[in-house]
Amino acid sequence: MKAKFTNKLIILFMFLSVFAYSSQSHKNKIEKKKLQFNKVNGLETRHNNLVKNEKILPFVSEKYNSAILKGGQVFTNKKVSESRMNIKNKKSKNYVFDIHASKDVGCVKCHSSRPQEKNKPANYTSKINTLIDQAGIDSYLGKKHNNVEAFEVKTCIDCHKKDVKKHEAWLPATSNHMDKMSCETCHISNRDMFTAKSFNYALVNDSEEPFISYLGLDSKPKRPLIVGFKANNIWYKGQSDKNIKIKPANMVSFLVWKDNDKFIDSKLLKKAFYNEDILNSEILKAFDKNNDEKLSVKEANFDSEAKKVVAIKLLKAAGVKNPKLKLISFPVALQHNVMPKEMSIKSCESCHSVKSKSDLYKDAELLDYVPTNDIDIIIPGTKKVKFAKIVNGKIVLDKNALPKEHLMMVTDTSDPLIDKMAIFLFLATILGLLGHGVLRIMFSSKRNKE
Amino acid sequence: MKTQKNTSVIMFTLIERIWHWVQAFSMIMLTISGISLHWPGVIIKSMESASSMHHLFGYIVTINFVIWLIYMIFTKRIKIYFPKKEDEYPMGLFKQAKFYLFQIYTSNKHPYHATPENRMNPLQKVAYISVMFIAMPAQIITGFLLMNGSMSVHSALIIHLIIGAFFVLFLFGHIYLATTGHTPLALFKEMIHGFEEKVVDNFKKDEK
Repeated sequence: MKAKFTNKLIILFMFLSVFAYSSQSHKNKIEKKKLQFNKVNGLETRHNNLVKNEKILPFVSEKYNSAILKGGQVFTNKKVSESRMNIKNKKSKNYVFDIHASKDVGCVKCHSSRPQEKNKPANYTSKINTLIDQAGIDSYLGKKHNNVEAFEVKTCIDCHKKDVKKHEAWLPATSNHMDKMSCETCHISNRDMFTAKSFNYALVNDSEEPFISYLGLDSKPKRPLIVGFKANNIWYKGQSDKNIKIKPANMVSFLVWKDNDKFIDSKLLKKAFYNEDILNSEILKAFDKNNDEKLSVKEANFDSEAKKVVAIKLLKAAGVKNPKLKLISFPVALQHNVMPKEMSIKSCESCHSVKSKSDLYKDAELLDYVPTNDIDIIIPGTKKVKFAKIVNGKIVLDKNALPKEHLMMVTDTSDPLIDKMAIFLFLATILGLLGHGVLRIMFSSKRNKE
Repeated sequence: MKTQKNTSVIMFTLIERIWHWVQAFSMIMLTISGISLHWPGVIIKSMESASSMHHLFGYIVTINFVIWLIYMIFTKRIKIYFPKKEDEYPMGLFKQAKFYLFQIYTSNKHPYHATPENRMNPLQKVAYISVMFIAMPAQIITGFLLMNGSMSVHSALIIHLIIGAFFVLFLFGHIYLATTGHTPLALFKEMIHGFEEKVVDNFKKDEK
C-alpha cells in the first residue's frame, strides 16, 4: 500500500518537475524578450574626463586633456590603408578607422555642445574626413577637435537598442553579458594608432609642458612608425554604468610633485628648474646624459636617486617645503574607432579561454621605471587606489587586484592553486587506485585459494 | 570464482537502479562539460554547447536528487545511511580501512557483510552521507546560484568548483571500489539486476 503511494508520489513529482522546467524555460524566453538594458533617455552624461571634471589633476592643460581623451582614437571615414600616416602594414588594413564616421554619423550625432553653451548646437563645421589626411604624427595629439566635448554624450544603446536585442539570438546569458561588459569591449579592440601613455609633469620643458611618452609608436625609424596598440580591457565604472564593467581603456599616468596635499604646478617647476629659459646646470648635469643641453623624454625620467636629490634641492630653493613625487594613473575610456560588425569579437573563447584569461589579467604596464612608491591608480567605481605593483623594475596595474565581486568570468575559476591541487589529487588518486589494483591482481591466486 | 544472482535477496529496487544509472550518466556528462567550462575548448570545443550541456544535466541531477530523497524518506530506506550498532563506530571505520588497505589482497572476507537492510560498511556510510547530504545539495545550490544570474557570487563558484573536483575523484574511487566484490563485476551486476550476487559454490550449498 505504502509502496504504491510512494510510486504515485514520485510520478506526480516527475510531472511537476517537467512542468516546472518547461514553465521556467518559457519564463526565461519571456524575460529575454522583455530584457531591459540600462535605460537611457535622450542624452546621457557619460564623461570619462577625469582630468577636468573630477579635478584630480587641475594643473593639466586642456590641450593635453584633449590628447589624453584621444587615446589613439581616430574619427574618420577613411580606411587605414588610405591614411597618409606611417602605419605598420598599412596596405593590408583595408578597413575604416571608424564605422560611424564611414556611415557619416558625425560628431554632433552623439556629442552635445559645451555645458556653458547648452542651448547651442555643437560647432561642427569641418568634414569628417579632413582630420586624418592633414594630420602628421606631430600634429595628431595636438590637433584639437571641433567645439564638441565629452561632457554629454549619447550611449550606444540610445541608437542601437534594436541591434542590442539581436545579440539574444546567439549570445547566451545576454543580460549578464550586457551587465558585465560594455559594448566597446567587443566592438573596439586593436588600435592602428598611437596614444599618450605617460605625462612627466615632474620636469617640464621651457614652454612649461610635460615630457610625454607614447604607446604604439616606434620612434627609432627616420620617420616614426605607428605600430598600434591593443586596448586594455579593465574593470571600471563608466559614468552611465550601474556597476563595474569590462571596458577597453588606455591607462594614462602622470608623474607629479606634491607639496604635502598641494600639486606643484608647471610655473613653479619652471621657476625652480630654469634660469629664465635655460635649464639649470645642476639639472643638466644630472639628467642630460648625451650632453646636448636638451632633455629627451627618456632623459627626463626620474629613474635615479641622484636626479631626485637635485630636483628636490632646487624645489626647496624655490620655496617648496616638502616635495614628494607621486604617480597617478587612471583609465581613459576608448569609445571611438568602432569596428565594422564583421570585425567585432563574437566567439565565446575570446573571453572564456585559458589564453583569454591570461590576456584579461595580464599586468598593464604604466611606467617602465620606478620614480616613487607613492602610486595612486584611480579606477572609477572602486574605493581602493592601491592597484599598483612593481615587476622587474616597472610599475604595472595589477589587474588581479581589481574587484571581482561584481563579476564572474568563467575563466576566473581557473585559479592556478586550485587547479594544481586538483590535478595533483587526481593523479594521486589514479596512481593510488592503479597501485591498489595491480597488487590485487598479483595476489588474486592466493585470495582465490582461500 | 563465479557468482550467480540470488533472486531471494533484493539489494537494489528498480527505482534505486534507475536513479543510480541516471545519476551515473549525468555525472559523467557534467564532468565532461564542467571540464570544458573550466578549461574552455579542452573536451567540448564550443563554449555554448558545454554551457547548455552543463545546465541540462544540472537540471536532471537536481530532479534525480529530489526523487531519490522523496523515495528514500517515504520508503524509509534512508535508514541504510544511518549508523547501526553492528557498524562498531568509530573502530568500524579503522577495521574497514585496514581491510581496504592491507587485507583485501589476500582475503575475500569483507569485515561487514552487505545485506538489504545494512548494505553499506561503516566507511561507505560516512562517504555517502557526505556526498548525498552535504556535497550534492551544496553543489545544486551553488549551481543554481551561478546559473540564475547570481554571477557575482564568486565564492559560490569556488565552492562549486571544489565540490566538482571532489565528485570527479569520488567517481573514480566509486568505480574502482565497485570491483572489490566477490568478482570484479559482481557489484556492477547487482546494480543492473538488483539481486544479490552470491558465489556459485555457496549458493549451491545453500540450495541443498
